Amino acid sequence: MISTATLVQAIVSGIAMGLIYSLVGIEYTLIWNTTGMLNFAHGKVITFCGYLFGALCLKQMGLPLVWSLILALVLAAILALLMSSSIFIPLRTKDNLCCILATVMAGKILYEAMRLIWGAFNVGIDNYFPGTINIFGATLPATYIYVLAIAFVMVVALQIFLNKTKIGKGMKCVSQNKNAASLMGINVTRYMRIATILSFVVCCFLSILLIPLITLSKEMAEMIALKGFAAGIVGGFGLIPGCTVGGVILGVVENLACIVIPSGYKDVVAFVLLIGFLLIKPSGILGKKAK
Amino acid sequence: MLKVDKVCTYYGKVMALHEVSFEIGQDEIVSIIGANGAGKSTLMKSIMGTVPIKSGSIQFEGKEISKQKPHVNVKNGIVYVPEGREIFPNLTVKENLEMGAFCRNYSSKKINELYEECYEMFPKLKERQKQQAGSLSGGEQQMLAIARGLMSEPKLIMFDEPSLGLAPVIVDEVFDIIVKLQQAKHIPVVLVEQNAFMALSISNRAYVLENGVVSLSGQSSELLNMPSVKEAYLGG
Amino acid sequence: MLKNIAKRSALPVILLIVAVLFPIVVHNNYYIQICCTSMIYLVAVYGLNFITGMTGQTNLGTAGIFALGAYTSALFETVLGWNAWLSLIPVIAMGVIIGFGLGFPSLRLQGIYLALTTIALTEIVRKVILAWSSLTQGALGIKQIPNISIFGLEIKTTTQYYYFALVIIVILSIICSRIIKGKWGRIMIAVKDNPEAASTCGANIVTIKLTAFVIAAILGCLAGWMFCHNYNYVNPSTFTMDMSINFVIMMSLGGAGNIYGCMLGALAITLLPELLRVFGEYYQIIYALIVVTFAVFLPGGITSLIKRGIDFLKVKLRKNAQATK
Repeated sequence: MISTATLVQAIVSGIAMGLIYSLVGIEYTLIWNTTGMLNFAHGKVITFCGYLFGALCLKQMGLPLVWSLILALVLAAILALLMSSSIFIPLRTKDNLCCILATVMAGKILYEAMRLIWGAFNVGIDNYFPGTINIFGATLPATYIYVLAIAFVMVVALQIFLNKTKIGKGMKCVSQNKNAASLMGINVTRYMRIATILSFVVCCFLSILLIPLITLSKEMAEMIALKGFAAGIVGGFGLIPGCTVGGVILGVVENLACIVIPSGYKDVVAFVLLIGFLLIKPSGILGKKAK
Repeated sequence: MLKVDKVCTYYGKVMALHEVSFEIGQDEIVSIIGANGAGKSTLMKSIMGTVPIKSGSIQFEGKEISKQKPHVNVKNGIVYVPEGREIFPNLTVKENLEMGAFCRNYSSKKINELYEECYEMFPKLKERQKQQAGSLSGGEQQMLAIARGLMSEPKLIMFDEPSLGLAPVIVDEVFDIIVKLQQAKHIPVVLVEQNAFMALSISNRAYVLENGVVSLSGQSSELLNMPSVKEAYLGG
Repeated sequence: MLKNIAKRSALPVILLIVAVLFPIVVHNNYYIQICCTSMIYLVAVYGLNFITGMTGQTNLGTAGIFALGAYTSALFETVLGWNAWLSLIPVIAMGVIIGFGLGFPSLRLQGIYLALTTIALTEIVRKVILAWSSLTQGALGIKQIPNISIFGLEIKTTTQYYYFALVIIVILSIICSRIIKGKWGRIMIAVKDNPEAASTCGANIVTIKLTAFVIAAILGCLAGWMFCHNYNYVNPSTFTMDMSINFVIMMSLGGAGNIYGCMLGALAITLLPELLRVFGEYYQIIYALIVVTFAVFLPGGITSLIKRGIDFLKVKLRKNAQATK
């Protein structure tokens, strides 16, 4: 019999990881919706932001936590402007293969930059979410609760931003109909840059949430990035609320599955879900059936 | 108000417009008629900046606008209601209208006034304000596209084939509205149409485009009675 | 007529002569091994060429196919003790199975969705190989895979393997070139350009896509079979998405849909890291920059550049001839 403690552990940490997948889904969907390009480099972007925050700001410059966060966000925004101007905007009209190759190679460049700048750096960062919490008899590292709370707040904040603010509404229009958007006086190119900046800001927050969970390393976000794709597909590709739903479902199902299957296969769950949904209901849980 | 002078536009190596000139004053309706593929939409897109022009000049309120991007032209007061409506399908009617005023920074009081004005002119839209725009009928979408165009209080408005795909009764309604709004707002209206009869009936002046060249121009009433026009565009 | 045949076979014959003489002239084992690796990859690239270059189906899963081919033959030989030629049978069978396995999703999914599916499948393959260690030895990999023997002669040295691979490449090049230039090739390109139009012309899209995938998968598995007999060792860390991307780069850089393009691509990409070693630490970045530049400015690959150059020269020569008349 599976104990309540195990179940609670699986579900709570599943929701926490799930919200992380949701945020990954949201960040690439922002760029996908406005430019039509899938940012295959997003895993490396997340990791790079992690190094900006952890290695550069926290350790090398010795800034306190909050200032490190702010500086890292600013640097992430600058990176976003660089990448959108050199890759996303110029290449969005080219064919699929070209876009995939370009973003993958951009990821490679980021990876190499990380290796060259911080390669030998030993980044031991103390967990900034210390302590444990007891829920229904299960003892969990408090990290999960902090991550859950912060991620949840972020998802809600993003929803509000996209639906209620002027910029957010502008971005929605650019995603739905670029022609019409430009006829409303919206500078479509500028909004693509704004979407990229927002996406990379989310990536930066993601890296901060991941460091206590996974520890900083060059491969930190690779699997998470791929699972983020799965989250988007499960919940509804191209839909922000879809990413939220898909991510949480993915996180929880993954953990519950590991109660029955050997943990070596945990990562396979996400990809099986991805393929399953693509074959059976490609529009995802929240998506409408496409014609 | 708007002066187009010897504009040439190319699609790749194909010349779509050859030294096209036309102008429109402060308070009139000018229509541009011609067969399918004559270049009417290309002309509109060239003015808006959606398609770049190769040579010639376009002046709005005395200023050269031929190199400006569409969103800048919109901010300066030129509204283009495109062929095929191009509304935002996943937004509600009211949200679509809201987007019409996007380029302006109106207070919420001003926006509400504008909504009321729209609803007066288009009562059907008021009924359906919370409905998703994608689920409206063709005629209702056209009304929405026009209303949306008015939300930014334009100085010039251009309609591209408003009658396309609509039932004759609805077409009458649409043209009625175009005339009404021109009389109410006293702004210049450019009307591009395949339906030559309707276009000539409601406009002051007209230009005939044939294969990218202006072949005829003049008072609409004259053109209506010209035998060549009658034969080519009015069913003999 | 004979002049035409001579013209058409000039290039392949020259290439063949160069290839045959290469190990005799260049005694450096290191470079011969690089050529062996290029040839192994070339087999997989020929396969990818059919799917992506010609039929236009995005496939980022070649590494997974390659891995399955390699592991199938490795397992049959180390566990069941079969010899290399016998294990070709399950390898090809695996190719057929994967071909259908990937082909069916491609009927319903396009572009980016198909790309994600193929990535997902590759990851599943890699994870399963890692996790099912009772079968596959997990991260340790499978060692001491026996060499291929032809009529008792064991292919041990690099040079022996070089000629063995060369024979396979020549046979495959002829077959693939036939397919590309023949009816199937044209139909595949039609499906890439405009599937609806192709189907209205009577092409059975389902058959074509499935055929393309099966051919590609068989070739991929064959490449895996060749790979494990060259290195005598397989382990899962080799078969990553990076490898899949490299295959795609080999195919596109050379010029999709083109046998010579594939050859050029496979050789160039395998050789490039060696050439770029001069730059030391920076060679990966420069590699990435070169690829991005090609992807952006030369989507047709190097062969399209060469073709443009040849056309330009032809036009110039014609103009000169007319001027002198």
